[in-house]
Amino acid sequence: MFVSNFAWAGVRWRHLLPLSFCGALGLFALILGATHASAPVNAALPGDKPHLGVATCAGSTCHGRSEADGKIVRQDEILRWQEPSSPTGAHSRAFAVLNNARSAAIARRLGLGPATSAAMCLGCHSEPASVRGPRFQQSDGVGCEACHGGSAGWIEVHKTGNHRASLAAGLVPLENPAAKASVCLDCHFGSADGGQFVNHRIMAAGHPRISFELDLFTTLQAHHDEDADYVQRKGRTNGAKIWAVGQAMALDRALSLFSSPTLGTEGPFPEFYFLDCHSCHRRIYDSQNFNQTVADNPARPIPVGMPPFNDENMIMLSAAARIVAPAQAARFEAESKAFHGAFARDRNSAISAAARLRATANALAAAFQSASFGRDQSFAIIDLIASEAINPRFTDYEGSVQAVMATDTLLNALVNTGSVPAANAAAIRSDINRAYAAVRDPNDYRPADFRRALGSAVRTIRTLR
Amino acid sequence: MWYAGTNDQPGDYRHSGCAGCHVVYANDREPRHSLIWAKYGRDGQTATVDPTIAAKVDHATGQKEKGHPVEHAFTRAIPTAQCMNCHMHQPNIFLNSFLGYTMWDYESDAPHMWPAKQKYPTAAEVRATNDRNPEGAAARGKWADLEFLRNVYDLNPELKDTQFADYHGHGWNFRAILKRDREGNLLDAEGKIVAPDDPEKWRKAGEGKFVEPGANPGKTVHMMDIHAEKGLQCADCHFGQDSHGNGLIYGEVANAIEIGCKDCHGTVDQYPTLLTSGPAAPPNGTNLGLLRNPDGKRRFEWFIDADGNRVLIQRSIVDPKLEWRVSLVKDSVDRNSSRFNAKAARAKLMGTISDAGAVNWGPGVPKENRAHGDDKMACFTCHLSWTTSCGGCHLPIEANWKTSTHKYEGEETRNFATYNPQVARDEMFQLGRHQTTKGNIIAPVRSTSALVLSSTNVNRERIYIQQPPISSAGYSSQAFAPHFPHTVRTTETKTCTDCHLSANDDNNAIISQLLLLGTNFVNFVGLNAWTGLESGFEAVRVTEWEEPQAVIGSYLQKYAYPDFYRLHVERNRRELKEWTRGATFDKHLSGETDHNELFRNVVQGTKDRVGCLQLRGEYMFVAEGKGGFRAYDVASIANKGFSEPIVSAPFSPIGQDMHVSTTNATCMALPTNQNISVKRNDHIVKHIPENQEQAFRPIYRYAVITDSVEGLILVDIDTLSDGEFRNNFFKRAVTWNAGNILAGARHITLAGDIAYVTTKAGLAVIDLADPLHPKLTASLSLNDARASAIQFRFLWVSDAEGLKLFDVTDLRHPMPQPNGSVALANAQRIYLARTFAYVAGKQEGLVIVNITRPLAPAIYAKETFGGKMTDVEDVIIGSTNASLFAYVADGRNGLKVIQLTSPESQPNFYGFSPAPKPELIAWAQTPSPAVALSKGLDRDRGVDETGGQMAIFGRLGSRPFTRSEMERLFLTPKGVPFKVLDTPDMREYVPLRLSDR
Repeated sequence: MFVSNFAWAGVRWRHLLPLSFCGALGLFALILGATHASAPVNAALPGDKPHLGVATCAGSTCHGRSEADGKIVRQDEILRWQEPSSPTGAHSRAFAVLNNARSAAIARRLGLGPATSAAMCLGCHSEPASVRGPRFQQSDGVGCEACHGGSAGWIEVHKTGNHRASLAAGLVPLENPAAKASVCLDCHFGSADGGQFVNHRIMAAGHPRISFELDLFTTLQAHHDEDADYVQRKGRTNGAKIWAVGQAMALDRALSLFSSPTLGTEGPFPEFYFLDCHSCHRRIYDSQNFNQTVADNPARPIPVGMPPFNDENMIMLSAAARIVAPAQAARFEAESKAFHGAFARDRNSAISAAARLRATANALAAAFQSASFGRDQSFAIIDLIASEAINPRFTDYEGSVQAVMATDTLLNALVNTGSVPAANAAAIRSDINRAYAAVRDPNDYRPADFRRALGSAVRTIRTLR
Repeated sequence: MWYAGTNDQPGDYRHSGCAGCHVVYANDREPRHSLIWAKYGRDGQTATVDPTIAAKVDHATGQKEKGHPVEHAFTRAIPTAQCMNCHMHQPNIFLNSFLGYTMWDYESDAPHMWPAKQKYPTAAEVRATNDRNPEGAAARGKWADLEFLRNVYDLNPELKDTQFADYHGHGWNFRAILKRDREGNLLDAEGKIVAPDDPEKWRKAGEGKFVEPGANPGKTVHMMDIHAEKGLQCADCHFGQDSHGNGLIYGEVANAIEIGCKDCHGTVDQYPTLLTSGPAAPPNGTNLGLLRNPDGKRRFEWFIDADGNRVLIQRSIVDPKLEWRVSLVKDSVDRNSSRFNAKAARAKLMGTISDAGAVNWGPGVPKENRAHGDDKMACFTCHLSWTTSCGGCHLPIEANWKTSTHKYEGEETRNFATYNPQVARDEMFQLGRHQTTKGNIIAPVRSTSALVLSSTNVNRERIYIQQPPISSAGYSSQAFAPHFPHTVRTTETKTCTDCHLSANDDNNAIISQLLLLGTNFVNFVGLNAWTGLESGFEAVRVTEWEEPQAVIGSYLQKYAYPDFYRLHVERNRRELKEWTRGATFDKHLSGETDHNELFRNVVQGTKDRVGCLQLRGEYMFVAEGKGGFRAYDVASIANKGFSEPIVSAPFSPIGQDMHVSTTNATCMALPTNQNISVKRNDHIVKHIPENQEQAFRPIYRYAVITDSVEGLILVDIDTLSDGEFRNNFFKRAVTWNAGNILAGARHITLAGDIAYVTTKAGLAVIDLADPLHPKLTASLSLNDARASAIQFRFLWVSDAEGLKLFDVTDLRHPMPQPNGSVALANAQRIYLARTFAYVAGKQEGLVIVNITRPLAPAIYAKETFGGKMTDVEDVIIGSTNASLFAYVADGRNGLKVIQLTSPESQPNFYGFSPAPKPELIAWAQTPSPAVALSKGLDRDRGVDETGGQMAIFGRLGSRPFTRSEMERLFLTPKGVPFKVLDTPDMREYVPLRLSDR
């Protein structure tokens, strides 16, 4: 569901890497995506069909095998979904985690009653299904249909193996980056639907932060092999594209929820969830030897002392736009800056600026969907992220984390498309790990150190070019 | 499975093919056997409203027709009762043990099961019964009546000896196994004795006729597997692949199983992986975590409890409301866990014994030093509560009983064999080496298929009777096999003193049983007791021929054949006479119902005194004094077509000579009284090594004869079982009497390679490992040594002063144990049956000595039956059904048959060694004094004291222990016996060393 400590994900990522170099790292392409890209995709679609439950998918001749020996798909997808020893199994543990002491404490502090029956928790810690089949088990947490859609409509045709027909019957087209981003963001950022928004109060009660990057998390969650017949059915995956679309969609989601009158404010305050945690969560100095830890951010015109809107996706999007959609890059830059400025003024101005920025973000998403994201572009984006143009914007923790994830994910995309030999990429692993180490502890984040670590990693990556 | 069920008796309804398992029939009302299906009864009646089925009515009763499924629908919620339609039968794994039952042996609670008035069924009635139920006895019993059979469970509250199951596959009855001590006393959960007349024996106040999962009703403990007690059904361990197979054909059932204990319970080192690990598991195991129940829930799920402990839950496949917390072995041995169990930790983490005899246990014992590691022995070696111990079955085949079989293609056969369990017990615990596919680790071994076969031809001539066959490996077919009995319990497990010497010195018989050396308790005597006479030998007819083969005058005869019993007691005054019973014509002018039965006692004259004789297969081996040594062909002993049923040569005496003349053959012994063929063994060992059979030790080729003048004589008798009848000429292989040490030799006991010979001077011990070169290893002087008998670590010898005890831990060098002496006036032959020594006491009658503690013997009884048995020369013991019998050669008084235990005389008759309550039930005159007896067939002896295997083991690579393997259970590496207590001593605990963490 969430990654509480980003460095932890980085550790896992290292473990997964050798696998990813063998081609298990999923990269998605957009052969089918175009038709669905513009379709509104929402995890709790009004048209979502009844959810029949994991057991319905788990037959030993379907997705419930012990061995990945299926002809078309692995058929051990459930096994990977419920793998207890890795993040791959995180979704299956989503409900069980509500039984632990931390969850109980959060629920107690919020006065929710048992976490296992609190709507505020169940929106993401179980499957958002309006209608449940007889074999549906809430204890399965985030099951198959949470992402793939309620199966009552499509399971019959799905059995035939005709993917196109399944999509037509309502299977969620997760091979489409935008569709996927939309589904993931419901819980990995938040949505306006019930119980899918982890506001600042919930975090104050003990809930971990929400951190997300679409391509990396896609890889962590992947339970498919991108083999020949996969490509035939769904097209080749492009990790860089998923990353870029994910950034655009995440910004869109953030701005959209921020603009919501019910979610955007909390009492007299803006909802702090949208802000950069690190901008407030800093050390307090009462003594003489005050040491300013806030760094100037040229792209964020907001006075020191006012908490800024979390700009992690804006930074990434800015880099992606400059390389892949240069025609819109300048507008995006200007509108982001204007949004930060408006945010410093008042909520109404901020909402107006958000609407403009959102439109551009969506335009970028559309542009990315149809762009190619080749070798040169990926290298260029990596370079740009660490360059003088972007680098000064890494003043806060969240954006920095995104930068490391981006570097990592884009490098892996290069490996998966054959642009960089796996051995070479493995050789610079330690540099990337140093960058991860620089963001391991949010309480010990130092912008200058981080920029050095990232710069060093990117310089090494540049040599691969 | 492709043959439709017979659907003709309660608890025996099923379909075939897929529906054989996946469509449930009502067979058993017991909730722990049927869970959600229990409420539908045991009559195979449907509960569906579908009128196609529901409207079918049995016109005789007006009830719903029987033989239809509960629902006309497939299910995965298959109850144990469904499996038990087939798996109640011996060749189908005999899983009654899982439910705590074994086959009823016709004796316990006999008054309720046999008609008060003896039945005389016609041939048609017998056929009608046997068509449903192959038991020969059924046609005479009440349970031939279907209405009686379906209500057998309802008898339980009134029963005194046992409790019956509510299922009746094949129309059989199954009796409950109950927790008992070694004397046979019923025990409660805490181990306290439950009196036989305790009103809460079967049900405590408030407990109903059936109890729910989790309960074990009554004060007694019904030894059903703990899994079954908790409500697990077969399908809760044996998942899809175990039932459907994996596409490969396996030669042995056990090899087709993928599940193992540790898959769900883990090991001392690891929590369970939920990956199957059995022989048929895929290379990385099947992940049981993937299993889902029909309601969509996970079958297995891990949780963390409020205290932070890992908890594994399993959910029932049958009842969605039922789930269990799985015991985790790792927690049971962890001192910091709330689930720590010192006994479990001690057993599982026990270290190997040091040279000095010290032991330590605990997590600090390195894995490779563990004495009981799971790489060395099967979990269930200790975690079983009991094992099916079938002492044997009788399969008499009858010609001209045309029958359609109920399997395969339903073909017709001209002959029919009824199926007759005889001794079905539960107290034997034996160990050996597991099959190769299980790594040849130590595992429990049970008696399997200890069959004896008979054949009756078209003229109703019994052409051979009760013959134990010989396996293709040459070993006796009194077969054994490593076996998981599915009788796992948590408290009623095996403990230290079940396998190692007890510090109380009270388990010599237990270890003898354990090592498969036998206990001389379940021996099979059969139709005739063979007694040696001063001038010949005699086959005295001692049982019925029909099933059940009750001993004449016994408790069983009284209930199964009340009229015949009365004739024996009242007409014959309990004498085993020569006579013909029955009527040539009954009132319907038929000879079927009470046919003529000829009782004859056959005497074979000999030149001199028959000091020792032994029946083996179709031959009687006899030491006949000045007549030397001879084998007689006695195959036709019960054949009415032979007026001379004992012959020295079946055809011309020129063609064979099974005789060796000696000066004065006083006694003889065979390495085993089981039927064997060394030649077959030679062949299989040499040409079919893939069968992984051991070679016979050389001694098994010979008979060993003592001659008071010539000493020891060995004769190759294997020629009689080599399939070649033209070479049956006996000759001496060796004659040995170095230094005339064997002067006056009069008795011999063979313990594998070792011969214990009583001589004029005392006891001579001779090593026959190289039979042609005997070696004297010890000689002890005694005053008029007479006879000897061995049981594991001790040898008893009778002499002028009584019984003398020797420690034979070192078989070749007996050490006198004066504490074990018993003073007797005139002790002769000795027979050791578990914890009692039966001593032929001449004028003192039959002397019974309690030898539970060999070093502290106690005379239990001196029985003369009021002066009727006062010339006792020899005694043997045998089991028939649930009862123990003694056959006594009472010198000039002839032969005596004594019932030692019966349900009437000894309520503890199912114990390991219930105290005998001798009753004289029959006797026979003999033409000259009866001085010797042929020992009954050993049915619990698979190996001799020196490690020589004699009985076949039914799994590839499985075998009994060698002598050195046996010794590891009771000797330190220095060869000194070590002894154990059942209570853990925390001073021996070794914590985990920091360096190992």
